[in-house]
Amino acid sequence: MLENQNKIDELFNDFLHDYEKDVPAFVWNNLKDELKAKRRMRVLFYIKAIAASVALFITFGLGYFVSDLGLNQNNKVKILEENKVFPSDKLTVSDNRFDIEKANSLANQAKINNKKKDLYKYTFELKKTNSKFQVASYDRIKIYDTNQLYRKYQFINKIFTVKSDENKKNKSLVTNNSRERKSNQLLTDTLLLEKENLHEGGFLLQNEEKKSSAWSFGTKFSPVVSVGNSASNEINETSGSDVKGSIRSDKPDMNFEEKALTSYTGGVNVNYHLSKRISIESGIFYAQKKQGADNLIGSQDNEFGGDNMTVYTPGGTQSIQQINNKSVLMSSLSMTYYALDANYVLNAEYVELPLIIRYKLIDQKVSLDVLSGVSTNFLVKNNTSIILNNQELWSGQNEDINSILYGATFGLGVNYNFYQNLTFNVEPTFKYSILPENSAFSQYPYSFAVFAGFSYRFK
Amino acid sequence: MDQQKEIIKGCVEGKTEAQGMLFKKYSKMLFGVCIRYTKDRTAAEDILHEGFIKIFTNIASFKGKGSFEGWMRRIMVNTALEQYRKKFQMYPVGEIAELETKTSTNLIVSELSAKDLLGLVKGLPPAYKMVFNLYAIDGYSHKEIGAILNISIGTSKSNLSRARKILQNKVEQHFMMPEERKRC
Repeated sequence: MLENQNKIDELFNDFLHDYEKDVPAFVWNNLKDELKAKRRMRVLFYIKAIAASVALFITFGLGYFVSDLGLNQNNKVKILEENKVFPSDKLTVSDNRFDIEKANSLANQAKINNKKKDLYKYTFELKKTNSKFQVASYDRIKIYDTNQLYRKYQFINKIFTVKSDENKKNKSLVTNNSRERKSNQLLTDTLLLEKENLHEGGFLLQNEEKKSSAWSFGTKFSPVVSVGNSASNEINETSGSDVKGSIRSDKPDMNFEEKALTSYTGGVNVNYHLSKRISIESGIFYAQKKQGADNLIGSQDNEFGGDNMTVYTPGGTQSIQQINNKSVLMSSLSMTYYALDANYVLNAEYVELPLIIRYKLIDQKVSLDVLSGVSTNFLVKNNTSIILNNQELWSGQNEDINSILYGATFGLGVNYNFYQNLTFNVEPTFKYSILPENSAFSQYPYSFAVFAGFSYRFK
Repeated sequence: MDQQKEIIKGCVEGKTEAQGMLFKKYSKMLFGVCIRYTKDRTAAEDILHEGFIKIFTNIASFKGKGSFEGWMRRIMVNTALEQYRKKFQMYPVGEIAELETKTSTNLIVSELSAKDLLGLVKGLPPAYKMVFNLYAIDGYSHKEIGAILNISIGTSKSNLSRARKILQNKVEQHFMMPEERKRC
């Protein structure tokens, strides 16, 4: 009995274990579409993640800006001559210079103390100071705010403490008069800052800002990556190919797999600063847009076709001399379709005139802008080609490309003022084509670019 | 083998060309697996589609240990079983003794075709078909089948036994020589 059972198992195993069955073509087509959709979803997920990060960054930036605004604009205190309180005889001022050596000596003698009560008090009052003042040396001016002073409270506190504990003569720096103490603190902070930054000593000045011109100009450059549309990737029926999109038994599936190719953009920009934070930007840019499709399909009329082959591309059909590198895809009495190892590339070049509004969220040495605007693109060059094994089989123009495009731009600008009026800029930007770019390709209306460049603000 | 590695590498990188090559190379074999576990072709196509999505999504987890074909087969079988679980509830079959079976298996093997035998397997009740496919053709043990289908080992054995009996009867009816049938 067991033997018979094994024979039944063996019989079926022999015949069915390696049984193969032809798979209908549409299974692969459906699979390919779903994989493509999944890829697109993945890209969209990354874009959403980046957008969420940017939103978070902007939110925090705004928070920082708002708090900064509250401190510095509402409670700005100009330290004038009458606010100067000169230190005790241990910290002397001669010829408008502080005795840096003595300050250094005091700093070096400082020890950690446990007078937390005084420390907290000091911290609290320093926080409340909210003053912004300038410290000047003979050759340059720097602006420090209370945040910078606050970071130094611990070190400064050591000086006060040491002096009060070890040397009663220096008690003049620790006083119960809040105004005097505040002034002493500011003076000492100034002393320390000067020690670190100015070397030559310095003095307090009336707050006076340097004025710059409202105009600046720059140049920037970026590679551009286009991102697919999340909508349906159905083939545009208005394109030149008469069989495109048809899934009929006598013709192969003509769904071209569109792909975005990396392109470049760059140019010069001019900014007009309406206020400290708002500016308008324009300029002139060269913008390239490349798209393509792989694995083109060709057909040959068996009766009257001769040697010429009709190649179907997203931009229409082209008649090309006999192509050797091909494999039969489908054949009927009158027509044979071939799978070609050929690619279609559309290279459109535009002159772009943007109009962008920028708003400075964070105004520090490294500043952060948000930018938004529109751009008009004028088509200057349009070249399409069919490429097989790196050889151009055909090239020409696509007649279906719009000569003017309109786009919306959103982005961020991180600017580093590295030398006087020169700034290094990095700008991740996101563009969206408001109108369809061309009838050949429909899937890549979004593009992402990270511009890098320099700008110069006139004095 | 190198070509297979190249294809797998391309699939891991998400290249459509590599995915197409993989599909072209293995889809027939895997479709054969799917067909065994389903009643109709449409359901098999759905399983093939879903199975390939899993293969392409998880191909990076294939570390090259063991057979790649075996790995893909297991994915297809698991996908088929998932579909089966959604549609059918395994009903317990009481522990039964080994069924007596006819002794003759002198078949006209030359007249048999895979298609005929496939038809017989597909005609089995779903629960029997699953167990028979898993045990007799795909080489799973009763313990594994029990775990996969969430049934006891005894149920798995009894289902297999019933499946065998049904298949043997059908084979005898359709393919045995007349004199052999008389002798039985």
